Amino acid sequence: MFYTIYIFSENVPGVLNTVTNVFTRRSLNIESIDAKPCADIPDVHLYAITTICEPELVRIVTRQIQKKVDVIAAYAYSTQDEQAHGALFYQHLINRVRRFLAERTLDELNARNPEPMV
Amino acid sequence: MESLLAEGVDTIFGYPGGAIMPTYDALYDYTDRIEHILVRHEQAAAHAAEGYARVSGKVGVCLVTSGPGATNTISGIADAMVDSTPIVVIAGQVGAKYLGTDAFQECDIVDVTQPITKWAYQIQRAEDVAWAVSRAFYIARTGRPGPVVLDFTKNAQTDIVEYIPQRVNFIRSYVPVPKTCATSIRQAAELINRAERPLVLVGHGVEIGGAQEQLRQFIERIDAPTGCTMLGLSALPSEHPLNVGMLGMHGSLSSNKQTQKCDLIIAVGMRFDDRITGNVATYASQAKKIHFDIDPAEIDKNVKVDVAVLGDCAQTLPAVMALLEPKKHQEWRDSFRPYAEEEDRLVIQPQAYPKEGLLRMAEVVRCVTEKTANKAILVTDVGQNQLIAARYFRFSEPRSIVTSGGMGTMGFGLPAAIGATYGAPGRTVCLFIGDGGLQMTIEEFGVLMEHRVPVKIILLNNNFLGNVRQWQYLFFKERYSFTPMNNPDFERLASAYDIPSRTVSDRYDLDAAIDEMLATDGPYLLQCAVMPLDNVLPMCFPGNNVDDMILEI
Repeated sequence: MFYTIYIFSENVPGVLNTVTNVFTRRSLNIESIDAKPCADIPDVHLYAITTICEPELVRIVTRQIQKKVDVIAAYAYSTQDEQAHGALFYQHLINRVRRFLAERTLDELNARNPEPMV
Repeated sequence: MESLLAEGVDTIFGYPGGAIMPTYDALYDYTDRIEHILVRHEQAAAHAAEGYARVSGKVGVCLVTSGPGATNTISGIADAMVDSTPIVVIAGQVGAKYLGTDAFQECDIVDVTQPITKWAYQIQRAEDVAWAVSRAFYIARTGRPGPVVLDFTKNAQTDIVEYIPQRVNFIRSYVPVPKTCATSIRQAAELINRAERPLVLVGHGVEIGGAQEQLRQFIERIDAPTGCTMLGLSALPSEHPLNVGMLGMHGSLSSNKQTQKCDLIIAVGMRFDDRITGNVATYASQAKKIHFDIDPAEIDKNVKVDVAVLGDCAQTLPAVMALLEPKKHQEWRDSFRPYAEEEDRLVIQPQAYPKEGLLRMAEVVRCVTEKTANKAILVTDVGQNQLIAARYFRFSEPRSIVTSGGMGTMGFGLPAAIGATYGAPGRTVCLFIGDGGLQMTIEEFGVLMEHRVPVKIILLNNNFLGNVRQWQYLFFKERYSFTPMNNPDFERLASAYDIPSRTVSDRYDLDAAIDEMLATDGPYLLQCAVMPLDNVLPMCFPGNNVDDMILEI
């Protein structure tokens, strides 16, 4: 089945290599790849990588990509998933990342100002 | 150097060379605060850093030059990645203006190591040093620990900038400890409360998370038999009544048999490696499964589970335990005993307590563990020495086993043992190693000599690459293709490095020899001439069901 994994990353050199390594290790062909700055979220890059594989494997591969230090978020969708969202698909995707980044902003505040012990 | 001190670095394992000379020059002024151990090969620097990290819980550091210096660390980096060991490898690099020109000793080490590190980064400007070092240590030690490589260009080493301390404790794109879902806690508790035959599997994650006490309380509350992976062996004292031994290919008969009869698997900080599961298609297929792990990528990777409890097990185990009813599973626990007795009769007694015949590996391990009151740190190399040591060494303290689990890196043992002595200076470090593995990093005798490092080396010499030979015996019609070893005189080699040594071939000399080894300050080589064709048993053949074990050949 065709899946597209949408990967949002920090804008640093070498991220794409760490991502494609995950495909190489599993002998997964990359059918297409689109890499560009994310127009809707500043300082974030977006890669859309399409591959053919089983649903179980795409789940594992996506988690392994998500694990990379400079990857902000990774989501996999089948072609049918994307069609189900229709024209709103891209907005849905961006909203997911924005929600995640908002949570991380709170996490950062907590990291800088930890809760008092008592 | 100030950046390293800010991260609490007190020990570095390294080897100088052209592209890292400015850093070594700076280190020269810091030797009162940072101890540098000059290894004899860069691979050993990485393994020593691993050994240091594994026993201390701190980040191990190694410092090497560019090109071959950096590539020589790769086995150690990959080993640290698979076994979740926090190390930072600082490698020199040619100056930024020479990058990509195939300059002398230039190697793209970032590209080479990206698949086997948590993070690999090239420092091109002196201004970035403090930030990059702090980020490297933060990534290496947090969440599921692992190796980080810093590729340090020569100009970034020589340019002068004011040191401004940096403390990285947050990275937007990196979530070291995932949030624990309250539903998963409740679902896990429900499954455990309903279970009649629970089996707990303990992995290295319990040691990494410092959750040994939480684990003990957890298993005692539900009265669950508990097996350990090789790297998790010291997370639970060997003599604990609920400990049913090591899991997997050469694990205990009872834990493997009952894996296929339990009604609930509770896996804590382990990754269902193929050496643990055997045939994954049939692995505990009758049982519900709960997986506690800090790494979301491990969930459902090898074995599908019913409930995943993400988070730090030092937090999640107590959270689940708060919802558990105290249980007694005496009948279930008793059902392990016949298998344990069968294994004792057919394997343990003949191997660890032989009355006649050639010296056997297991009896050497048993004697050493007894004479160290089960308190020593066990370091192993890889092969039969590792499997036998893991089976027969006993543990009473946490962070007491250092072995190359996932990678199975021969040559790991000696440098890792050196690192362990620096990571846990008050403890006895016993290294079990074979004649093959010892010769892979035997140059580190030089470190033992120079620093009088108190590694107690127990060389189980069977003049074979024993584990490969065992597989040739079992699966390749006894065609011993290049496994017999034509060995040097190890005692004379030790003597050349001023390392006291002794050879034992008669079991009646064993006790006295071990006493002498333990009573000797500094390093010691005890060579045991063991049965050449001994086998590690029980064994589950690769690909077989985990309960399909042979006890005799």
